[in-house]
Amino acid sequence: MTSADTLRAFKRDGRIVVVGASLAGLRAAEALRAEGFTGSLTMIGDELGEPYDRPPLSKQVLTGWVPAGNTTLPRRRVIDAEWLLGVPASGLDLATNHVRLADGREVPFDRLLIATGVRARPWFVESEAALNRVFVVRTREHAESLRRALAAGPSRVLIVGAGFTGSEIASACRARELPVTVAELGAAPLAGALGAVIGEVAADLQRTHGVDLRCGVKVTRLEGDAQGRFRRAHFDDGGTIDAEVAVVALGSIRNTEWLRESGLAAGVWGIACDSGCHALDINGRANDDVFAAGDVARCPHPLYEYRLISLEHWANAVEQAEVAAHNMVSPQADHWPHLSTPLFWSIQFGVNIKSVGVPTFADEVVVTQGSLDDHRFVAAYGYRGRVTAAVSFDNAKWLRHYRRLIETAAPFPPRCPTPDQPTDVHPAPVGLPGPSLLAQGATAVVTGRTR
Amino acid sequence: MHGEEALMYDPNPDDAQRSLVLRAAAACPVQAILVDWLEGRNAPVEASAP
Repeated sequence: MTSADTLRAFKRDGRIVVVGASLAGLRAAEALRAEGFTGSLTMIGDELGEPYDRPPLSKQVLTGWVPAGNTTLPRRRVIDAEWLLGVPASGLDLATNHVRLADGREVPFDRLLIATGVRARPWFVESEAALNRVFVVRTREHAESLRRALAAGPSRVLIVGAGFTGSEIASACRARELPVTVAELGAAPLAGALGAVIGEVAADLQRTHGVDLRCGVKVTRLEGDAQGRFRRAHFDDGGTIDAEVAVVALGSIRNTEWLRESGLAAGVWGIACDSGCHALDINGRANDDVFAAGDVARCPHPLYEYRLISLEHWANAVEQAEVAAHNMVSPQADHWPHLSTPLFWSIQFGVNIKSVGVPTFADEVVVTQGSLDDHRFVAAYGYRGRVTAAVSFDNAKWLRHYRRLIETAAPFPPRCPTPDQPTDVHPAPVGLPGPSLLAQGATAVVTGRTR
Repeated sequence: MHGEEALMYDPNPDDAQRSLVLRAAAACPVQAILVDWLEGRNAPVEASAP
């Protein structure tokens, strides 16, 4: 039998297991069927219910505009899968090609896609995290319980961490006219993702909208009352704040623990892959039968010196899932690389924030259009004299131009593409926090750097 | 849809709005609006939960 025959037989009646039944897993399953895979497809997910979309959970769900239950992902085709939901995978045996579930069941596969994503980083003291009215936001249930707590009109909401999620939640609270305190360990909101210069704009945005923003402080303790309800937070400077709701928004943890004994190169930064989404083993060899996609994958990108990058971006999950699915059912010579330029968006305090490229892969930043003071601008990021990313605040229509600059390694600082050239165009140090802070609140993590 | 760039929207609008949604999807210059075409989408998935 030739390898073409083998592949044809696999496409006809092979077994594919997808671990992770969220955006990346669902899109991969749809793509597998679209590519003509007619074998058995098993979807394993730790949450019950149909795959749903997460971006609305920290935005329109919290303001009460959209019910949490209305976030189910649209389906593009029938995927005819067996769904094993409500039980997480607990192990992977690559000698016999089985996924082990937490309830002891074993699920055999010929090819496997790992799309287990991330979970919210919990508050570091378990007894304090368990207090009533202390929340994280990652799942639909989380968002629904926080929405209910906000609707009850708490005297104040404390948000710990001012990354994108924390900032969006603060924005939703202000839309409900609730008093909000945001405590951020770094120099400014979003500084871990966009650097301190743009972070200052985010800080200004928060303060303009009535947020009590405190930067450079650490929350050391969440205190409850006799009924076990959160009442007060303590800061490392000795201060305290009284509040009735606490939201812990300290970034995420990649769901890779179940792979610890698998022999795959999986750890706190995710699962190392090649750009074709093949998972690497601990010796750095690509596995032909095991693929990874979405938040949990870390792939080398030629635009970023082939360093491994993990992206907690919606578009990345979709694109990577399609590449992985294609490669799972295609001959080697037809494999696609996942090379698309990262794209990210957020909306907070009425401002649309969009980025292309990897802003954390930069040493300098310059405003190329608009002005920081107006909260309407484009800033370009540069690394050693070339453009590596751009961020827009309410100015997204030019991002395609900047994407082209990034993809062609255009010199930094770039020229303004329009006549509205800002008067002050001096590049400034980007102001990214050190690696220890970077792990919190950054939605793109470049690992393996020695800078 | 909400705001200039419509980044925030109601993902499951009322059926009364269906024709508006289909028109918006057809008009979107970058075809970014994905409309679910499956009948009975809200029927439970073929779940086999424990």
